[in-house]
Amino acid sequence: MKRKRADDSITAFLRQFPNEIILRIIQCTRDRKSLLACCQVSKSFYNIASPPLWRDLKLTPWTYQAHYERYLSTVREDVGAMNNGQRMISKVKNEVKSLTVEDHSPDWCKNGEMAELELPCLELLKLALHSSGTLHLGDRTRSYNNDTPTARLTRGCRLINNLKPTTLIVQTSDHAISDRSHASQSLTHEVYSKVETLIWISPAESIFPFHYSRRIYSSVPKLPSFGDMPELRGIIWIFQPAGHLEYVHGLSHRDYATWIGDMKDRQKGHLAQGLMWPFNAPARIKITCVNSGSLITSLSPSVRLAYRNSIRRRRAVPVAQIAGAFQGEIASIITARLEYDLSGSGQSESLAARRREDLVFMTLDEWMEQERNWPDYVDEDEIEKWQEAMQRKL
Amino acid sequence: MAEKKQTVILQTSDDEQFTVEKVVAERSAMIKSMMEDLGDQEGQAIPLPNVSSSVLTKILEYCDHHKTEPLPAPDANDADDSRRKTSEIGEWDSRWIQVDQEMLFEIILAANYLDIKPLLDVGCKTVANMIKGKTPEEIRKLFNITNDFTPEEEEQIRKENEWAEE
Repeated sequence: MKRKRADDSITAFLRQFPNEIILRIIQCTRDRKSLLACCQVSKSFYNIASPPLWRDLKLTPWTYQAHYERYLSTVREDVGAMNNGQRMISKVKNEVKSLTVEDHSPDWCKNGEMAELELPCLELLKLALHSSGTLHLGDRTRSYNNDTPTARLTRGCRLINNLKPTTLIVQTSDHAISDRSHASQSLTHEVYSKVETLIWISPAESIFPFHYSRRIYSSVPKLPSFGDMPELRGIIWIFQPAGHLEYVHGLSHRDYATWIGDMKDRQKGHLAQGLMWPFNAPARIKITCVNSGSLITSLSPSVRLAYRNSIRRRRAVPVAQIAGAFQGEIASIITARLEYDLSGSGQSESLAARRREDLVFMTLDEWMEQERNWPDYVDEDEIEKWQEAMQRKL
Repeated sequence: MAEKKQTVILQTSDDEQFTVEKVVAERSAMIKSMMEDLGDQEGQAIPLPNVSSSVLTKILEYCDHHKTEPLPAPDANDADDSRRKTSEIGEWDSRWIQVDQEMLFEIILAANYLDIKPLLDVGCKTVANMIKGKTPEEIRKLFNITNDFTPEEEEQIRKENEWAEE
């Protein structure tokens, strides 16, 4: 009874609301379900609610991780599945400004794996790339002729081939960077062609060599060439811990820090030789290295959630605790690499000085403070949503 | 004398007068610009014909609590948008906005009229939370809106949004 009266009073007052207030209210509506409902209310509501519904499109499949299998239906509910190209209709073309895609298995694409997205309004493309063994955005150079599950798994879909974002965020995992057939290398030239800001998120460990099967790999991310990015103005290189927090291939963060700390600068220069990029930047491109020290910089809400939970359950070392020490190590290696390059390049002292000037190191807090346009990156709300969804499932 | 300059008189729709610190009243961009227009005419009340005394009392509480914060830039629309999108309702604000619905809507209308953007955002976010979980039909009822879609258009939109409903 009471409830009904309350609803009546809402109705009475909402009648008086001018359109601009209704617009504001809808803009504050963040969950897709509410926006979807608003779209179906009336033509004017459709016009207001439809753009925010489509502006930030997330295609986030988790099928390839058995761990997430049971959450699948919830996830589909939340982000939608790309079952076939037919679903990607005109709204997508006209409204999508930001697209998030993760690696996915071919069954997610189903009939749509040959579909290429056309998004003329796209500004921001976020790619979360995981292990190349399972990704479906992967190696497109392989044959399309056969249709066995394995072939479908390895050849990769063409979903993002034609996208031309101005800001590109690529996140690689520790597995991905150690694998030469990593997906980031098979992104088409088109994807890079309009990029002005490149945000590259890689595990902090990626600039250190690591032991793997008793051999030492220089686990350096394979980055795109500058020739592919004529519009490039700035690079933000974010280092975050590897996904499993405590250990990477048997070595703890602290071991790395000690190991690296014992080396001389010249040795570090050699060590970091794999870092061929981004120090051969052609013009004045500002390179900002950010050590986040925490997985909250991960593009995947589920990873951020797992991180938070593992800290809570004290299963993992809070990486932020040792991030401070790490910060110095990352800076020293990258600086050593820069100096190594400069010493052999025959560049004038003034040019060398400019290069040094263009290289900046920051903590996550400093970076967030400076970068106010950081595109909805650390979205606590999204984590809450995941948490809710998971609890419902469990 | 100097102390008197720090206050301003506001007159509500039910003819009550409020003597308010200028720094508090300034939270309203509308009152701020009226004060500037009035200049030094002391003792002259600013009429607020769209705001009742009960609503103004409530809103002044908000303004007083936030009086030390920097005023939002008058034409910072884009920044506004992103803040609206990313930030939650603050702790104090969410406690303060726990009022009955009639008051909530009065506050929103008054915040719009008085041009207090952060307050308007708090109100709109609160209503947005109320929309959560409602069906299109329930939202129609809430806003008193007629469904002007043809059945074909309805079907079209349903199809369009199908991927997100899966």
